[in-house]
Amino acid sequence: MTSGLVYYLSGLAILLGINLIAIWGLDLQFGLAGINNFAYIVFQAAGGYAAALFALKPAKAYGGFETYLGGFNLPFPLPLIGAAAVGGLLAVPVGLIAIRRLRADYQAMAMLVLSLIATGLAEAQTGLVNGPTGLALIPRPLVGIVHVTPLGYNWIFLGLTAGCCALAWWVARGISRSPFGRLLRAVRDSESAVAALGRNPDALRMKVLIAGGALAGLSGGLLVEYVTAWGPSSWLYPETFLFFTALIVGGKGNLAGGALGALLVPIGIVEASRHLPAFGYPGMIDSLDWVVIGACLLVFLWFRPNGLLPERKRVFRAGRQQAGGTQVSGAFAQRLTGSR
Amino acid sequence: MTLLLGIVIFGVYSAALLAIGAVGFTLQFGVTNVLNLAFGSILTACIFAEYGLTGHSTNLWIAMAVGAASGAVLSLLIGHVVVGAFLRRGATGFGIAMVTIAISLMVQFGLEAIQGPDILSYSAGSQATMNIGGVVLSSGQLTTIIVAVLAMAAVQVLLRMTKFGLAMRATAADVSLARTCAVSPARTRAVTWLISGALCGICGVLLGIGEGSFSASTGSDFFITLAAAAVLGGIGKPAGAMIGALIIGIVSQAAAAVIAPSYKTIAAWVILIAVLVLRPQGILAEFAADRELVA
Amino acid sequence: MTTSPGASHPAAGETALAGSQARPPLLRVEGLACHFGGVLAVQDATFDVRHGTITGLIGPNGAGKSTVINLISGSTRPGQGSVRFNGDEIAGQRPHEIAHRGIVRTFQQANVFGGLTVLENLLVGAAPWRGERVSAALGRKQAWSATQSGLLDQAWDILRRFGLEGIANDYARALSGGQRRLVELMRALMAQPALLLLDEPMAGVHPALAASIADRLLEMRDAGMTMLMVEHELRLVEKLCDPVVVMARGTVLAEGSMAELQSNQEVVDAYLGGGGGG
Repeated sequence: MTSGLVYYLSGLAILLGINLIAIWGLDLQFGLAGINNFAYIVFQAAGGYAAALFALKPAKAYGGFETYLGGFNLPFPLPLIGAAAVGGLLAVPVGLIAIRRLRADYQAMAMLVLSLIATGLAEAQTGLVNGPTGLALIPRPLVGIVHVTPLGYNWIFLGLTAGCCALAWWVARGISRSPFGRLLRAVRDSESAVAALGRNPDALRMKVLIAGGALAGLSGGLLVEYVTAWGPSSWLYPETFLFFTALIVGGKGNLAGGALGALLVPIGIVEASRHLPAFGYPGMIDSLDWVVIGACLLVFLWFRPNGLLPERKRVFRAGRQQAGGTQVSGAFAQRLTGSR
Repeated sequence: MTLLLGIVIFGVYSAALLAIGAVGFTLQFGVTNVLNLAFGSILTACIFAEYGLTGHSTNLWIAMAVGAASGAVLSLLIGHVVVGAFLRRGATGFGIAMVTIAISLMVQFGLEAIQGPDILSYSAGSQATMNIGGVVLSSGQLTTIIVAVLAMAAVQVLLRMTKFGLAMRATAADVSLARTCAVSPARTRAVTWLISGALCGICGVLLGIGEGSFSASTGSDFFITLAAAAVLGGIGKPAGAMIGALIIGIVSQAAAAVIAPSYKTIAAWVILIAVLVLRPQGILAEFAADRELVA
Repeated sequence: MTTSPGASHPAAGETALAGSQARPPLLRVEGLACHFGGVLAVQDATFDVRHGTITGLIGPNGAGKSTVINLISGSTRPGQGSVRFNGDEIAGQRPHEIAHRGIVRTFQQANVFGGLTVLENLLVGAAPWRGERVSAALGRKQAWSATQSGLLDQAWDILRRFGLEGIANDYARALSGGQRRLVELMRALMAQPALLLLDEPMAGVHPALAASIADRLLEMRDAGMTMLMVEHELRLVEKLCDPVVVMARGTVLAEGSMAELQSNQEVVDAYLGGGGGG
């Protein structure tokens, strides 16, 4: 393999990892808990901006090249931790809309509009994050500390991404196999029944919204530190559906499904199409990507709504066997009366 | 003073433009109970269709007719055929939101692929202007107000004075009841998609003229503002949508004049979220939360 | 404990007679009222549920029976009135807070978690425990797996009791309407409730299955559980419930044993005479 190809593939692996973290975060919110978060990209965006503002020096240091709030010049890994924290914190105000008892389609629309408003505000408030132009010159982690070739740096960043993926996997797997995850799946099916069994469905949803938001924020932070620029055009509302399509194609409620979706949709469709022989005007292929993504979503919703790797059934084998009916009855009665 | 007059006059123009689309959107939502997130893409597609078919420099009324026809066909195809098929498979509210978003992405970015990198300039009809107390209104904007008034009147006549309007109202109120009254819900819904699409097309053409240019994302942003008017007025209530359009039109003009132009849409969108979250039944109407979805 | 269920509790038949004087009622509903957009659904409902009884709640359609269940369980907020449980005022609390106190309900439309297996449904039914916290999810599996296997044993016991081990690992969405009702009932049992609210547990259930549910309910009562049950089928009410509260037009009409009620002319006119028996 030529070194150019190796460099390209290592970059691709980094993007795959970043998408994987975001998709697992969405899987927690949507796949597991059934929250229709059509504003998911805003969590990634917030994480991206947070990492940028934590890592950048104050605006004056760049001679007024761009205007933004803060610029804290924090060393690695603080910007990434901040990105995850901001993504998680954002869940609290967003939850006010996402957790309300609303018709699912109304809620989806409200979240979609939230995403548009966020874009509108980021563009209108130019002093906040440099308006429509967005932020540039965002420092990469460890640059100036480690001295390596661009390819060497890619390996380091890939290692960092892999570490973050492992962390995301640990969070997502931990939640999805745990009794907490079971409650989330119960909330997805019937909120009223969960409440009737003594759990607060709103609190459960808020917790998973925060967990998923933190993963989205982390993925945004990584993305921004890798590409070193971040603006409103990077997180327009359709990007949310890139993640939804990945989940629906791969299989929601299944970590392997999310990984397969990350490989097939953001990397498969979007990256692969860059290698098509050029046709039309520049940018035409990018537009057609979205047509293909929309078509994929529609086709899977029709033919395979549970995805290529559907959610797995959690099967429990019978434990200790009871001997006879009367004995069971006694044990049964004991439990009913014993505790109260 | 001119500022206030400007806010009012352009507010009325914005309201007229919004109302044409919002009434179409709310009629269809009321009768079918399907939240059609692809409405904005249909709107854009109508401008493209009109631009492509007539070369955009013809008579304004022909342009509107072409827009209406293309909107009706697209709406029937997307709403009645595709969404209808998913509904017959048992898709629910969230599934339908996903389906209409998927269609919306396909249409919007398909048009973007056709359009290329340029923003297309658009005009139809005469370029005459009119001066009202220092506020200059173009003939296109004036036509918009007239068309809106005519369309609103036509919708009210259709709903209140025709047998089909009765069928629409019956289907909106209760599908099984409509069936027992010898109304064919399927036909009613199909015609509703057509009417809604036609209004969407007219709205699109007038929006294109009003803006003087358009791109593949023109309709998507405008749709959210239009939905704000429809939701504010109460889903399925054309009269409510008109009032909603008036409120949204004036508020967004005021926000543009007082805060900054970029807040024109943001103000409308914030209202939309507030209404969806706090009072989803709108300011005028009863709520249809438990009705079945049909198309 | 090796004593028989009946002896382990001052329960069952005697409670209605002697127990009522000795002990305050488990649940006291007083002057409960609630209206939906001007329509008065329940007005001034007053009755008690005593320990160890299956108290029946009957009445014609629209009498407000299900609304009373919704008001007690917190699904609907009462306009006025008081609901005292073990002496504590619970009216106006949220559903999960009320459930946390040991009042568990079933729904008129069987409300199971379709995307969970029957066993998982039962596990969710268990009273809230430490292993459900986020910290447990992010920690080691061993921290919660032992408690969970205890709950699983308990769930298997209940499944065997109902003769439903065969569907333990089936998705609840794949079950019949009657089976869903059973799942809901078993799930409620996992919580070991102090008071079980049953909203038409036999509606739409095959008669043979309904008889089996009735037997389970009697066993549960004999084991000391208290229930408040809305039911249409009067033969079942007669078999299971004592006392029975009759509601009509949002208010409590009469209260007593089935035999007493059948001789009450007002009740017969309002309910038993008309659409009754069926």
